[in-house]
Amino acid sequence: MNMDIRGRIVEALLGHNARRDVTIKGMSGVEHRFDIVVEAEGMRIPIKVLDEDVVLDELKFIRIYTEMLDVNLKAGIIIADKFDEAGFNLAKELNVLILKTEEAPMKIKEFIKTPPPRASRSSSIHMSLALLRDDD
Amino acid sequence: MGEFEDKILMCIDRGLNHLGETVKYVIFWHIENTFGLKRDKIPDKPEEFLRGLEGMYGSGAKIIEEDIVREIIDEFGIEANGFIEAVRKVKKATDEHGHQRTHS
Repeated sequence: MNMDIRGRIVEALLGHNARRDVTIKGMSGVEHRFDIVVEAEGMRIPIKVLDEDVVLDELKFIRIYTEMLDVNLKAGIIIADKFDEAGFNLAKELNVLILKTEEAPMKIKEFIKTPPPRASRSSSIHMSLALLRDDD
Repeated sequence: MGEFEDKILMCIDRGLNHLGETVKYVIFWHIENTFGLKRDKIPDKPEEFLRGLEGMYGSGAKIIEEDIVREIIDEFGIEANGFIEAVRKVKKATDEHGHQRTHS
């Protein structure tokens, strides 16, 4: 099921630079694979898609976040249908947005289509993620 | 490196192994290159190590710290509330043990 979501997101982002199965070399020299990477407004947003039966807890989040951190991305998106409160709160604290499969294509499209006023690159993305969260 | 440093580093390794080898490698890399603390200096500077983890993971550093402390407690049979206290207790015990050995 979540195999399809990757295609649906890329489809929803038609016209934007959204690529699937992207490998990025981190600062440490380790290569990290992301399911989708979207480039918009000069920002690069990595997206990880979890299988639908996987619960995103703190440890799983830290594993994924380490990859995002290593490739120097200030924010990211994880698509997970199941997550615990601790994992969700930590993601929020570290500016990573968690979206459920069904809402993901639309929410990511909204985010890309209507980026907030740009104060700086990182604060811009953080504001966008905050706006998306407010819709929850 | 002495016995104390070796054993503390072994516990840190085991604690970080819960996150996987790759994540462990990336953490050590960032602790050294972003926060300026080499792996082998961590036992002497536990505060800096924690500061690095907090810089990387915010409140999530706590869960990593807990995994490491659990390994230290299991290894040395001590009681400790947090990484800094655990490292200090182990250092004290190792120093005393070494001191006793040199005087026996």
